Amino acid sequence: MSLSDHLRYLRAINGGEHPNAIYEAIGVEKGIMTAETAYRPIRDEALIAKLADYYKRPLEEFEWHNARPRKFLTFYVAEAMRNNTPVELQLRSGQTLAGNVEWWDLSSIGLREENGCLLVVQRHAVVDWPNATDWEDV
Amino acid sequence: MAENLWELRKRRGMSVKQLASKAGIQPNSLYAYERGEPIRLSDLNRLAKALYVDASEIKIQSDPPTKASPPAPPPPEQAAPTVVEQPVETDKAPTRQDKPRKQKRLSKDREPGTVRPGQLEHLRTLWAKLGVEETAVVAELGKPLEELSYFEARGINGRYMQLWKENRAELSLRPPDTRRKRAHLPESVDEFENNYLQERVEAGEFVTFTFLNDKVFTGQVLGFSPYNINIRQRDGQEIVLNKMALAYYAVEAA
Repeated sequence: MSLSDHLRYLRAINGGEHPNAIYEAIGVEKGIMTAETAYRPIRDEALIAKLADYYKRPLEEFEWHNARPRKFLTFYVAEAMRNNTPVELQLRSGQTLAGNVEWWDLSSIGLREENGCLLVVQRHAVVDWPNATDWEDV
Repeated sequence: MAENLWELRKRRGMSVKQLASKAGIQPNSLYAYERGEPIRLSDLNRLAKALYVDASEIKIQSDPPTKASPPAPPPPEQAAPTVVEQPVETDKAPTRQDKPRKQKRLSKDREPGTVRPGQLEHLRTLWAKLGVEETAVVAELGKPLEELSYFEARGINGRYMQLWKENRAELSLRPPDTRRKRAHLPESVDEFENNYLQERVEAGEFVTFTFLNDKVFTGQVLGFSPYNINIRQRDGQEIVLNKMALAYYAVEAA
């Protein structure tokens, strides 16, 4: 899961505060919304540290998510689809889904399981996948 | 009533060079037309525009000018160049009518000797429409566009504008350029999930939604947005599911 998805998840489970309230609290003029919608790794380390502090989470957790941006998940599923190779997607719930990617888009991945069932997996639910950090940002 | 070309020109207080430059034609051609040579149709339209008259108001074949007001013969330096150089020189002593106008234009038009950025931009747009390579034009001119004079650029513009007008109908029949103007981000595609949900709405199928906390809801999809999915459960209860809390969903197994 990308840090942007993780931030949105944390904001949701913390009462769904408005981003304005968060950046006022951490003393940042702007950047929360950018961080929550970023497809790529967030480069502002100071902002990451402040957000980790705000949510009272270890910085490593944020860095771990930041190393798995949405772009990399796109690369992974796109390559698997191109090569017709199966993917493994680990969800936040701990469940791992496996199958072949039939399509993917902005918000979800169409995953055909071995039993023929098509699952629509929400991208923000995918926490990890094999070799998640091996991609290069382009 | 059509009039002689030279009469119209003189009435406008323009020299041959000025009119040729404004119309984008060779001064030598203009001298020839004024002496009675038939005006080519393409040049006639340019001259009409430069003189602010209708083409029908210009005699295709002018009567030679009277002795009292003969057009000056072409000076030797006019034989070669395609376009007229600045500063503009009249082929007769400036009249009282000419002088203030010339001074006014020069002061208003900033530096008359240099091509304006707007002219270059216009020319490039025109060439793009016509499919003309800029490098080919530069090679033909023998110097960079930035070294053109204001009037040279104007002359070239006239030439290509005419070409554009003549070929406009044909050029507009070209298929539109469908090449993408910018990179297509993969994440900007969001049609697949929408299509999938729309098919479920139309089929009235029951779909099982599994949430991040492992809760499961099943129902028929009634509608959806980028953030929510509205379903009707088996007991008839309608609920709105927040997509952000969803993990995955699938059509209920038979």
